[in-house]
Amino acid sequence: MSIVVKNLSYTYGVDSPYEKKALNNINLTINEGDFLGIIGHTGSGKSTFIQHINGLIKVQEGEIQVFDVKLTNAKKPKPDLRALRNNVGMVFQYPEYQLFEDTVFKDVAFGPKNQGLSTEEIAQRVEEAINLVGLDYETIKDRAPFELSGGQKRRVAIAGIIAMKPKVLILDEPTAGLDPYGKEQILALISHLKEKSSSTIIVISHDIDEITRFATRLIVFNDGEIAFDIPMKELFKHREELVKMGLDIPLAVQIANSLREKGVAVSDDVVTIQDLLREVVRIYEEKNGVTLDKRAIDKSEFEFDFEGGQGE
Amino acid sequence: MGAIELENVSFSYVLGEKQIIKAVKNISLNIEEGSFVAIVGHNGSGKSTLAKLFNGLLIPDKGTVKVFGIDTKEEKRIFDVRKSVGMVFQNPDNQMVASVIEDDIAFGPENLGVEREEIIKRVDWALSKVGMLEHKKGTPFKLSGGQKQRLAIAGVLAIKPKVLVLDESTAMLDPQGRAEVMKVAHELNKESGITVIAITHYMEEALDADRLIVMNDGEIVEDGAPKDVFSKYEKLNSIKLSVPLVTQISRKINQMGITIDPTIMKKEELVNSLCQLL
Repeated sequence: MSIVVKNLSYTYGVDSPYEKKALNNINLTINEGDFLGIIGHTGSGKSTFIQHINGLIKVQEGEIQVFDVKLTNAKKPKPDLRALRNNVGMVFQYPEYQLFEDTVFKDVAFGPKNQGLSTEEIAQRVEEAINLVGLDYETIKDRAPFELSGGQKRRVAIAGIIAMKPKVLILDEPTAGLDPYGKEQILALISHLKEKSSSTIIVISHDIDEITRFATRLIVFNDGEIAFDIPMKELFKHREELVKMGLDIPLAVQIANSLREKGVAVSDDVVTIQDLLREVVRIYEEKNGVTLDKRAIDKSEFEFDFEGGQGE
Repeated sequence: MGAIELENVSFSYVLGEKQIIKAVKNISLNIEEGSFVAIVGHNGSGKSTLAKLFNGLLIPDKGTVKVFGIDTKEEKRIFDVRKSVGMVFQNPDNQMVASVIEDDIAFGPENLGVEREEIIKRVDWALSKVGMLEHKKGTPFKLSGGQKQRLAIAGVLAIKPKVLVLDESTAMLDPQGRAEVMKVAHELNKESGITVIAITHYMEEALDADRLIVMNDGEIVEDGAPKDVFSKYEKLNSIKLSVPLVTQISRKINQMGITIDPTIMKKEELVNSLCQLL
């Protein structure tokens, strides 16, 4: 277990006219290696929750155990926030706004440097991290972050966190504001990171279609509480609750529902676009007694090669 | 006469001594009054530069931009240009100027020297147009992103523009906020006859436009009805653009050998086509 949250509650602006309960008795265990997607409305408490995990918000009520570090509301002993933040890497929304050094190398090196690593170790981690996000180390290391494209800047910012080798990587709205290509690139990168490391990855997103593509576990925040915590493939069971909360349901689930209403025997457990395509093919093949070429199902819109270090 | 007419317009950014970025290259374009135009293109394609040329925030290096017949190069008439073409930008938090909503909306007309009585009328009118009248006495800082952007639109409306330019105004919003802003934009277009130019990354937002313009490398590479433009999948893909998710699905089904229109754009249409096949 990497993170255990017990009876966590949080209220903003206590004893002020703006008092608002943001979290209400949250209980949750995040296991090592989890690939977690978190959705919820603006104001549902998801960001407040995430900020607790790396100690940006002090615990008011309840407790959180993140690896060896325990966070409570007790004044003493003080939690080891340095150890905590070495374990939990957080990529904020629009992380490229936080680039500040004059070269890409220095910017990515900032985190490891503050961890007190040796010069050689820092250099090695920076190179590794830049390559891992699909950029070409040699061509990009001495460039100013500001002259890069939006998608490149964001990948540099992510590299800065990866270089610290956190055991848990949290990304808050990682594709917000990017164009379709930049978006696909970041999504492919997240999947690639998951393949390359056993670390726990938590992604917060507004876009349910995006989250169904990679996360294996889904947590839905509503009104400061965890409305449900399920394996992604069981999402279809909760479609009515999601609609009631005013959240979008994945396009594939919507289409499967409409087809079912019109009498097409689509299986109940369609969640992703691939699931839907497989069902369409299955039904069509049975009906017409033919076999179709299914290669298109898993084909991505754009191909990315993170191993090669695209350098663009 | 079109609302905005561009003739052989070029614009470059000069970054350093030898570094020049040609952001817009020799574009000629006529935006019809009353139309709803979507402009898409990947980051750096020149679409935001184009938007800034529409109301004289940028003046072309070469060629002319005319807004209702006025050349944006004419410095004396630049206020007439800006009154005609209102812009709403990406970040909702950067566009608020006052701590009370009605004051925020009044800011534009006040600066133009509009009479007090008229300002009061315009504030109510603009807020009702974006469905925010009940928030009149409230503060902008407590609103959601979608509400803030609707407020930014109301602020522009109070100047009574004929053209509304949305420069990636939905990029930082959640799905609900995006839907709210697009709904308001379409209502303003249909009910008040305001010409809307929506610059966006979301292909879905271009579906209901009358016209879709695709930019790449400072040039217009496609210009037509959304349905026709989205049928050119390979071309869009080669310039790092995509088609709406529904279209992606219909295309894949078609590729697997099932006879279905590969350019379906709407969910309902896809469901109906699938029903007949399955």
